[in-house]
Amino acid sequence: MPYSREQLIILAAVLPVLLASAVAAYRFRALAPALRLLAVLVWWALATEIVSRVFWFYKINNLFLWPIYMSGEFGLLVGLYSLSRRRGALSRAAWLAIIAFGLGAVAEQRWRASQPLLIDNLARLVESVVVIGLALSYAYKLFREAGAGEFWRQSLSWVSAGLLLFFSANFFIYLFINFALNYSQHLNYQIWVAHAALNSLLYLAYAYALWISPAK
Amino acid sequence: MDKPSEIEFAWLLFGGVGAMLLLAVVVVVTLIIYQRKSYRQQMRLQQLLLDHQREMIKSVVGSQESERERITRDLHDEIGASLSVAKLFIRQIKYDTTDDGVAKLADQASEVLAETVKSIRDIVQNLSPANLNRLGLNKALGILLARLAAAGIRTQVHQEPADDLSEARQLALYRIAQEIVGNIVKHAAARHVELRLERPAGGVRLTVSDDGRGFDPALAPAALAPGMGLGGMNARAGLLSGALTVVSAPGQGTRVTLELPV
Repeated sequence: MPYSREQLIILAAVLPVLLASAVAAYRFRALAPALRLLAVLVWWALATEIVSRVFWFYKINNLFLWPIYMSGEFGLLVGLYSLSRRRGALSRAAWLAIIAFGLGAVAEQRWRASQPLLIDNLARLVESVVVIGLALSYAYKLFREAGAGEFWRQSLSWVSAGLLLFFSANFFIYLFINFALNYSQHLNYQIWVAHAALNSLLYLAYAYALWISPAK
Repeated sequence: MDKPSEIEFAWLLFGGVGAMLLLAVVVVVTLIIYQRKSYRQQMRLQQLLLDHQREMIKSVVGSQESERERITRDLHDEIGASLSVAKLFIRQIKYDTTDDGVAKLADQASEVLAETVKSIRDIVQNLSPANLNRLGLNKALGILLARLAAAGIRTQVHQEPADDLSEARQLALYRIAQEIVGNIVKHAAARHVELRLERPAGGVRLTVSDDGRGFDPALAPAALAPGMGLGGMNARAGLLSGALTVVSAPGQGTRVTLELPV
């Protein structure tokens, strides 16, 4: 079956995830605990990509993967920022946020059970706001600590810049995704192409962050 | 996207996405610019601190030199003169007395005084760079090594002419060589010492190596540095933007190299 240009672009978005996963595997032993969570995150994304592509190939609805992936991503990102700040175990607030988010994502999925073709965008919007907040708080921390060293030499700077760009732009996409889904198939593809491009950018930033991470 | 309303919606949506993206880019770029600015500011502050430290060291070294000069003058003019007079009196006692016991005591006192005068002369020579001022760096270094030879240590000296160097450089080279020679006498138990003074392009290099007992600079720097005056040597070298390198290992002697730009 021939694929459209948009479909091919969306399919190709898995390549940066593959690259980041390979870098994570190569560098895992040398990574600090916080960045090990980033490595787990890229493997988590790769596993989700593979499963979702298989379902897509067999024309099976793969939207049920959405809250599962989202909860994992949210938990790992909150864990990453929490560990990088405290250099110890996850704080109680972080655990509470992760559990609350997971429960919220499941609740949204149940709520949307009667509308199987709609995407659970509420949880994604909440995730976007929280992750943007985390990235900005990291930026604020850098503002306050003049001696933190060069911005681009720190892995978390790359991660934060990637997340800030990805979630800021995607906030609008998630806000209108269900509307666009019913509005026009062509527009829907355009949106997913933009999403794939931003996702590629994010995983390239992850790959570079893992690559430059100093030994623990 | 054929319908005008669809195009309108797409413009709205992608415009919003673009605006958010732009906002995020602005945040990242602002952060980078601010960070670079504060990083540069920090570097400037560090440089100021270094300059201040350099000035402090310069003033400490300067006051050390003038204090040495004062002590040298006092030793030479006051104590040296008094001892010479005392020596004359003792000699007079020896000639005037008929008592053999007193004459013998006068002899012994005279010997003690002669030893004391010699010690004071050594101290004065160490304290004051008189040889340097009078004879220039090459001859002063030669005399320094000749003292080691007098103490039974074999010495080798290879010097390229360096009397045209600035006063500050000559003084630093002389003082550091003096410190190294002092260390060799006190700590190294060496049998052979070699001093080289070379003039590579754009600089001057002093190397003093010995075959003494050596030490491990990595294992006991804190214990060795104060006693060996490495801190002082480094400070003097640093004042003239020079570099001091110490290569040593237990049982394998020591090589100290000072490189100064000219």
